[in-house]
Amino acid sequence: MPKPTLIRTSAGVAATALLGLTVAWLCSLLPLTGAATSSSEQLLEPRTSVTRHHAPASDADEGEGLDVEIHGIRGTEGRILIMVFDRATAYRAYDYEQSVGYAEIRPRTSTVTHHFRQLRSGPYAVVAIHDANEDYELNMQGDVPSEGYAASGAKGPYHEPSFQEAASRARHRRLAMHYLR
Amino acid sequence: MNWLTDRISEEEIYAWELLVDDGFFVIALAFLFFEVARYAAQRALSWKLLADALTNYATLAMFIGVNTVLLSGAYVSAYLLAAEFSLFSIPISWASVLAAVLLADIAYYWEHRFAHRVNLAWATHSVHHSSPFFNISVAYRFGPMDGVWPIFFHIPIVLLGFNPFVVFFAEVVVQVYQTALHTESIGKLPRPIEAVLNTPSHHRVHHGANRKYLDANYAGILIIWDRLFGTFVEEDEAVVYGLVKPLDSVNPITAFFHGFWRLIRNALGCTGFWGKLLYFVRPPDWSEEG
Repeated sequence: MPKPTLIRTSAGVAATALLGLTVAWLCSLLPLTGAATSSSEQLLEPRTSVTRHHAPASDADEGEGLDVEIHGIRGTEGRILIMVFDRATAYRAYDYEQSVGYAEIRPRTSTVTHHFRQLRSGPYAVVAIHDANEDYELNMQGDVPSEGYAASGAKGPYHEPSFQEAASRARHRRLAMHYLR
Repeated sequence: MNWLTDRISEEEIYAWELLVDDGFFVIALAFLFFEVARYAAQRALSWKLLADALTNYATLAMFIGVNTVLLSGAYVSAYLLAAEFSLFSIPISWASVLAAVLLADIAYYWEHRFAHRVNLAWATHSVHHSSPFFNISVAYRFGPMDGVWPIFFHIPIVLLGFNPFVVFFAEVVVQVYQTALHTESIGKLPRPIEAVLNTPSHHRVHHGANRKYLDANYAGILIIWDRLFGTFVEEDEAVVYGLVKPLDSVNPITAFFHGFWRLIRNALGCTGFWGKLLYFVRPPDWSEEG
């Protein structure tokens, strides 16, 4: 029966860890093509233009852009508002009119996704609100949000990341929707 | 090649998982009929073989009961929680699914090796090895805790950033591939295949109680992990299937729990409190006598 040495086994474990990190890092750089929305969501006509500061993408740009996934959504009422910011001032104000990307999606499952085809550079900070009462506001009870909210770079439900913490050039952003009420 | 990077939804991945897992179960049942006919033609068919096949499916039913009823919530919750702390953010596409299968395969190698070299894990995995026969029904012979250990070895893949549904699917692919290897009806395949992939020949060695075959060929899909990490053995003599200390029973309850019965009995036979406790983490071939 084979009896590998401790050194060989340790080297194997280390090589496995290195392989895992390398493969995962390469996969995070993969471009994403295909349909912009999943079958589980209904993309609504946004109130204003989706993009403001970028030229429309050509067919050659397919695979570029910003891919946003929001998970942990509770319920199917209202809509998910996704805002993408490239400036700290607009980000801090949650001002959708100054966002470079904006989408409204009616959730049908606990996850919604959206592809901002025209957003090709960055860094971008992404914010999402579960606007359950459809008033286009993040409702508060005192200092605590009473609706779901998500922000890129947030380390937990009570962490409000700065623009520097939230902004990234990563093409795929996965955000968790937090509910404190 | 755009299809490799086309977005896939979680629902689609889950549908593929059901298709692969449940679909192959049906194929395996049909293949079992072929194997039984082959044994009959070779005059090697016995009532004990047929009873053992029924025992295998009985352990599958008990395993599904334990894992679905008791563990599935914890399993899914653990993966979803781990996803909150992922290092990278990896989109779902066939390219990332293929990568996840590769990582699930190497994770399975280490999980399988752990299951053979640590008594607490061997107590459940020994159920799978306790059949004295080798046919596709043996692939469905499971122990009570067979659904627990994979969590620890596959959660790192979720922590790396792969979607939990993708990791579930990758685990199913690795398991289903191995299911097809549980047969004596396929001899050695061409050398390039035997060099890279796990094959029925390699897996027969893994199920062997022959001394030279013990604790070898842990691979799921790729045998290269065994070649790289020093656990590969070539099939060059007839395989004696089952355990070193055989389980001479087709009673499904006996088969399902015998591993833990032996574990507790042997641990209690050790000297002192720490001797008993440490037995749980010692390898199956360890004894106080040395």
